[in-house]
Amino acid sequence: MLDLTMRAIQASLDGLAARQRITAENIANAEVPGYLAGRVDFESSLRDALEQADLSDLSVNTSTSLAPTGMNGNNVNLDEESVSLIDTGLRFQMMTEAMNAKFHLLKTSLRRDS
Amino acid sequence: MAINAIGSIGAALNSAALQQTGAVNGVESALNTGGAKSGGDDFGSVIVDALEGLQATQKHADSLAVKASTGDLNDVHDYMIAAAEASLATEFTVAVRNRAVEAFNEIMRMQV
Amino acid sequence: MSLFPVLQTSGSALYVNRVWMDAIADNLANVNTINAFDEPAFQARYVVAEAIRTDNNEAIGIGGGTRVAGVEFGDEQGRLRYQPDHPYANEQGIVRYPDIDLGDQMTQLIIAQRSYQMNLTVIDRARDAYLQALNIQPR
Repeated sequence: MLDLTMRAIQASLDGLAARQRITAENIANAEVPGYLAGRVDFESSLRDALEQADLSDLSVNTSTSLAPTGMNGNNVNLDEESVSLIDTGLRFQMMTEAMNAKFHLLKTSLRRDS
Repeated sequence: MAINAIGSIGAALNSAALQQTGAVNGVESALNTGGAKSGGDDFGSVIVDALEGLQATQKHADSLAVKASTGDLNDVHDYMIAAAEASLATEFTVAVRNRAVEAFNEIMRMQV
Repeated sequence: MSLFPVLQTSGSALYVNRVWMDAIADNLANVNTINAFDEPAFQARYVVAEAIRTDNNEAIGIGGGTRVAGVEFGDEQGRLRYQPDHPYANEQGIVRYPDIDLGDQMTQLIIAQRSYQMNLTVIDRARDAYLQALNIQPR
């Protein structure tokens, strides 16, 4: 039912939602000593899978940021996290629009009346 | 010839095997030029050419959507415009298909 | 490499301006830090920013924001003052004060704060613009 494009869009939605969660966690722990910021990377896994045109083995990779830490061992950069919030939110909105558009195309071609 | 056209409309809307001709406003340009296309000038080939244009538009929107999902797209409006174009082209083509089916049914209902 | 390049560019500027304000805060906090004559004075911190040249718009010459290239340290000679009753004073009663000009630092602080606010405005406007682009209903 879902073609390659729709599955790619779905994978990106999963990845963006994970990124949103990690960003919220980073911001919540912005003053905790010794806390290292988390990072989500789904783009490289998705890009590799798309080159093989095989989306069955996708992974959303969570890692810790290698940014330098401050005095108390915390390396959360609040500016970067705020921009990431806006960026991820906009991308999530765009991918849901894309998914809606794809489904609308299918529904249109199924219509019998005009 | 009309039956072939309608059958090919149904198949082409679902298949991804047609070649891309690059015609963006497939249906409108096909109808405006009055069928003076390379495949001959009967109604069937006009419709098929229009469908190939539609296929190209949808493929373009799809490739931009895939680029957007991996984060490689530079301009958001590129994808939104391509998707709007694909949606409009599909609606035109579906309207043409429905009218053609209606017309065919009308003719079949004619008492000989 | 981003769908929304303006956000990354302004985000980088936010970080640089905040580091600048951190440096100014450090300088101001240590404006009265006294050192002995035979030690270097507290050196003022200067943040060096450089432009990011590589970006997806490199072909037309637009870069991708700014980044902190490093921190420079100011004059280690400092200013000598006569303060004989200070525990760090040498036989002549001289101590070292850092060479930090209060007026200059406050001016820089205002500039850094205004830059930070300007970049926040840019992010706001860009987000509105992108939201409008997302409103091109594809259906």
